[in-house]
Amino acid sequence: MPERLRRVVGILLILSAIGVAAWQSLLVSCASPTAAANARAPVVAPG
Amino acid sequence: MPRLLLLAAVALITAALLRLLWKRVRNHGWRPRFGATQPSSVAGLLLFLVPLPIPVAAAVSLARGQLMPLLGNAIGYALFLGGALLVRRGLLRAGGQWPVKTLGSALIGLATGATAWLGVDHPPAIAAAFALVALLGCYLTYGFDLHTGRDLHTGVGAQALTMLAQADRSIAAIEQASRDIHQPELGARLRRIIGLARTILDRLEEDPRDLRRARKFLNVYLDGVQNVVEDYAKTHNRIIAPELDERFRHALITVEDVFREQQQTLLESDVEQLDVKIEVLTQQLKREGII
Repeated sequence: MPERLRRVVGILLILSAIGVAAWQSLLVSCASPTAAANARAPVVAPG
Repeated sequence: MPRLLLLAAVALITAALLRLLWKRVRNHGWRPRFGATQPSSVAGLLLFLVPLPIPVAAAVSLARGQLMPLLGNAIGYALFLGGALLVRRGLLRAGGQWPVKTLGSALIGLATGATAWLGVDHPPAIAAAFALVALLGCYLTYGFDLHTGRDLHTGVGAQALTMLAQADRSIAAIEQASRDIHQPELGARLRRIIGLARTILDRLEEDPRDLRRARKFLNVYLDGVQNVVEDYAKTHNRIIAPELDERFRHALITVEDVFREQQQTLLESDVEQLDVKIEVLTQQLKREGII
């Protein structure tokens, strides 16, 4: 793999993994406690 | 609404920091040299910038009294900082005793996993996937330095790498100073000298055996040229001294000649080495009765 392409792919992976985790953690922290609880334990409709 | 404002503020700060980083990269003329080991003030800054929402998340969790997200984000960010510092150290000081880049990348992976697991509350398997993707990203972007003391790609030893990196910094400084010299003829001469110096450096990087021959070029000439060009760039705007300009021009002519000679010497050494190899091969073929 060419050096430049390798770096671009690496940066994209860093942004997608670290960036997504970081922003998700911020969104979860800012979400209301009820919404956060729902997100953590989704309600399953009785079958 | 306040949440949206908070998010918008964080996004704006991140965008401003990224813009600043991009400007610095452009001004420094970032060129990937010596594998991923070019010493630069912006090396590895991405790993400091991308996790910036995490301390904000930790602060929000603290304000809301959420213990687990607070712990996850705080531990995650501490690991991110440690990992980013190690990777940066590894990039700036190539060829050290410890594989700091690899350790830093492992910490970054761990930090991503911890944040995804404890901060976001993803299942452990998903958090592990986050960690692996981050680790792979670090490997592709910065490389690993498992072979301590030697460069992974070129086989250049630590001392040689330091010399090459120092020479690269000198050339960058000459280039920077030459921008302040507004005389077309001198500028063109300096550009030729910079081009020659870079060619020599590329050759030395490709074949570090020539480093012994070029030691004087790296240690004496480049430093000398850097000092003279920087001093001239500082003074020539303040005083008008035609004799100084003339002497500087003569110095540049001499430097250009010396650099050309250096390049020629390296080429000749390649020819000599090839000649010896051909001779050895011929003797071997004769011994085995093929010719």
